[in-house]
Amino acid sequence: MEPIFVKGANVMSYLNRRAFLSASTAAGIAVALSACGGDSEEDAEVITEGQLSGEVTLTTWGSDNEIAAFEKIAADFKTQRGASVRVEVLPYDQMRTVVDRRLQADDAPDLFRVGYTDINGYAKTGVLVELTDYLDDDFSAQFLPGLWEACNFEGAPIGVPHHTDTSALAYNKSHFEKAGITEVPDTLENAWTWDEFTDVLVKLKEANPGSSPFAFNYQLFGAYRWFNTLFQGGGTVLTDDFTAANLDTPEARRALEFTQGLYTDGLHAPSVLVKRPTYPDAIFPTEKISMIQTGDFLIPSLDEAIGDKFEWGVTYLPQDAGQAADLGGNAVVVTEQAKNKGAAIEFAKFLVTKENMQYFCEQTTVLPVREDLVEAKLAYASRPDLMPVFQQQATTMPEALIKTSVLAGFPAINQALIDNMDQYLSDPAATTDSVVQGLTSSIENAL
Amino acid sequence: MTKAAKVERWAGLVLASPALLVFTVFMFVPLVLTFWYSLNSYSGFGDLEFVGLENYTTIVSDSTFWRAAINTVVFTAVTVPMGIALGLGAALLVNRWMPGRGLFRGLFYVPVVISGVASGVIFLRLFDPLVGILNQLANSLGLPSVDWQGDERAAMVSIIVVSTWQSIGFGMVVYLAALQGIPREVYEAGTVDGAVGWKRLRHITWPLVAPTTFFLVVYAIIQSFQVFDSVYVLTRGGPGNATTFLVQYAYEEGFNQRRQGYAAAIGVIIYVVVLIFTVLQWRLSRTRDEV
Amino acid sequence: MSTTAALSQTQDTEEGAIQPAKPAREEGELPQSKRAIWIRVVIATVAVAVLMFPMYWMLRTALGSQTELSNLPVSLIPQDWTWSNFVQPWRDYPFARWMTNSIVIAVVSVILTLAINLSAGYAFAKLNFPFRDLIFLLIISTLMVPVQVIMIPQFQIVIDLNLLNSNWGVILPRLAEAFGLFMARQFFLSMPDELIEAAKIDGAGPFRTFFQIILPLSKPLIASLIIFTFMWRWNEFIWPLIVLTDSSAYTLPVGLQFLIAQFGQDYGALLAMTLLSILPMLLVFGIFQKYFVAGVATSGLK
Repeated sequence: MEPIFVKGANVMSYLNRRAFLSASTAAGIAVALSACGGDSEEDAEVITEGQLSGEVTLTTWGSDNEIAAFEKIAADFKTQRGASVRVEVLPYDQMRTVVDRRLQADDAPDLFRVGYTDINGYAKTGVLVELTDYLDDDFSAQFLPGLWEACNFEGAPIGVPHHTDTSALAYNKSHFEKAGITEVPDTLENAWTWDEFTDVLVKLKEANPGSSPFAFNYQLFGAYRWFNTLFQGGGTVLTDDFTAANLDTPEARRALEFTQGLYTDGLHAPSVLVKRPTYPDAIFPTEKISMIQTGDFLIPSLDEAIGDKFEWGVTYLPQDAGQAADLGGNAVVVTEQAKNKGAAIEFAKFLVTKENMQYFCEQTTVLPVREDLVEAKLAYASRPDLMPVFQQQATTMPEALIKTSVLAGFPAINQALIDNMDQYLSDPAATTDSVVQGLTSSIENAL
Repeated sequence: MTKAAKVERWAGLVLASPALLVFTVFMFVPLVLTFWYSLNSYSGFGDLEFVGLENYTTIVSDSTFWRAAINTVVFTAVTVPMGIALGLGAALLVNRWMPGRGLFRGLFYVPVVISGVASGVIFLRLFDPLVGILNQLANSLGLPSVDWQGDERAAMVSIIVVSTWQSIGFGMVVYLAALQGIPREVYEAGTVDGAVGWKRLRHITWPLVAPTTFFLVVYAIIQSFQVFDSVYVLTRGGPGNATTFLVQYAYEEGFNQRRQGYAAAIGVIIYVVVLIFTVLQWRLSRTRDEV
Repeated sequence: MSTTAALSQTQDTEEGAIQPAKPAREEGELPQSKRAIWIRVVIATVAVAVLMFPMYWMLRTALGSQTELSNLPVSLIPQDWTWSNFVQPWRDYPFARWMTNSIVIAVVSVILTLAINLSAGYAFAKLNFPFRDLIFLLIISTLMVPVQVIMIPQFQIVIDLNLLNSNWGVILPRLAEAFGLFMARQFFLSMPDELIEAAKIDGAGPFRTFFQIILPLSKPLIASLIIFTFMWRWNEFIWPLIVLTDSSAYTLPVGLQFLIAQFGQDYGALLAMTLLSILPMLLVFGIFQKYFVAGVATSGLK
């Protein structure tokens, strides 16, 4: 099996380059300072040592496997630490709305799961517990620095990184055979170029084994995954100093037109858009779509839904000017409104111990974010044969995209995509000028 | 004042007080507060920030708002006449005796009692671009598939179909009540004058049910301002903003976009529009009663 | 099906309920030729078939097996009937809980709405008290205000009253609905004043008059109020969606949209649950069908 992260490839080198991150240094200083302040600073009510009691609620979305993994770790926590954890499940498309409403009502869950792309949007509003006082000095050193940084706001940790994931292409082998496509890229370097990718889709369309050749996974809060395409085409979301939108460039326009072209040429499933919760992974098992861009965390549910119906495999995302994949994955945060803050903090830490992170990643086919697991060989529960592709694809997360994704304004940038892309993709008459303009003005509002 | 009148005053106040209480707390106060919120910027967390009329000036140049307003008008302009025509048609069909009349009436009314969400799910399956029966039927007739969720016009049509499906029964029942009020003699006199079939409908029935039609038009207009449930299930306002309506836009802004002040401002605008229609109906139905 | 049976049982009596004074319909009708009747029957059958097709398709999908449903083209009649679509969602989601919530909310809303609207409707119609007409005008001006207009402050009020995520948070704010009040006032206005005068002469105070003379005569109104309130509260979506943030507190429509997200393309399971969610309402409709029709006639809606 491949090593989990190929050293030397750009993103992991970024994630591993500790010195690079001034923020984590700042966090280190903060930890040091609080240590100097003495232990008496500890909030009297917050008991984090020894036996805990009571119940905490973890609010999350998730597949059956993810929920089962959370439940199992919660049960272990109860045995070892004494406090019970209620795992509450919400639909992905309502996660933010419901958590927001509860926060507004001062009735927030003790902990909730949140994407790296959303976490600083919450941190900005001051609803998350600053964990500085509750973490050991060397706590931060256990994690990949890039993702640890994602869980810091203004220099203070406000969550623990739980896992990461990314997208690759899943394809229906029998459909590919029918279309006469005998080979798929087997190394990252050989990934299809956009042109080759388009050719494959055209062949699929001609053979017509399903209803549509392809679908992206851009739905709702996943809209930011379009940035894969943008960065593959050599574009960036923001200018180098992250202060302004940078979409009025030839590269960005090309990426937009490439994406729209897939829709207008009938190569992309027309009903799978951005705004509606119509997810390609729900359709792929019905053999109506021959290939989808999908996240590794969906492998277990795809595997279960497909069963023996047909053979399927995965390959790398297409490349153009370069390669790019999205920063997926989630952190777990503790809310200021938590009724049982001590147990909540302890559970957050418990979730990301080596043993528990490994268990969670293995069960749900996602990638770990601990240094001591990066090189480890994980026994993935479903289709372990597919994971190396995702592992390597993860090394192509562009540094600029990661930094953009964790900005406090990113939820609004993501929303700009949700609002603007649907119309552009579904209406052949929509112009690139208007979408560039729409995105630019929404993004500048967000910054 | 007599003792009896005093007692009556007391009794009136006591009997009206529960209604006064709930209307004050859950209607009048929120209405006033809506105006207040609309002058503020509020994310749902933290404090209100007074911004004056900024929300309203933003609305003026907000293309999504105008798209939602236009969608609402288009939707109203199509569904209201269609609902009226089909409701009257159904009423005429089952007004007079026929075998199984009660059953027919009941079945026409069934969609009215089904929740918007359930109707949405039912039609989600029918309209599904991949496995839906509608495209399957279209294909078997040699017609191309329609992308009910990805095509702007088709998505709007799907919303209109569901809304109309849900409203025919109500129109029918209201028209039935009106038709029952038309005395037999009127028709008999008409028959003598040769008013039968289409002519009877055009020259006798239609004018006589005009007040009902008027009521239904206003009622349907206001209803169509509130279409939400089936949109939420079927299209989420998409593709793009092709099926985003005002009420849905307000909900999105308030509870998904963390812009509650802005949502309140949209609410104020909806309120003003609805109020105009309510007053209009009030005025006109009053003149009607006096005549 | 039981609903259909109930519908056909009530078919011959449906108009009598509220207008006992009205002569039987057939007497007042124009004679019609047999041919005209049959033409109408044919048209009505076709129309009802089209209108009921979505309902049939729900039933068909709910009872079809997954493999059958995913193989195109789907046949119009199920090849094998199966209940399996009901099993998994019923087992994995608190559907019974949602149904209980819906029932509790609908029933409590009906009782409170009745109490509030009957008493206030009577007061506004027949009793003189200060600012009566002004207050009524104010209330009635909110008749058509969509909940989205006031949802932002309403939500804050519910939070302040500590009612978030509770049945009361759904019930109380929706009591402020002018429709029932309007309906009740219209009904009481049509009652002759002599009735009340006679009670007065017999020495009955306003309360006794209301409870002992007026209410017993208000059965048709009560029936209509029950039915409409039950239907609206049962089907209500946006307000419970806002107030209920905990899946165990959901009502059926909110639970249903939760399942849409969970089941995606698994329409069998989704429509099985949809069917379950509307069955109670269909049952109520089947039993009280005549009041639905008559209720509109008396409500002053026409």
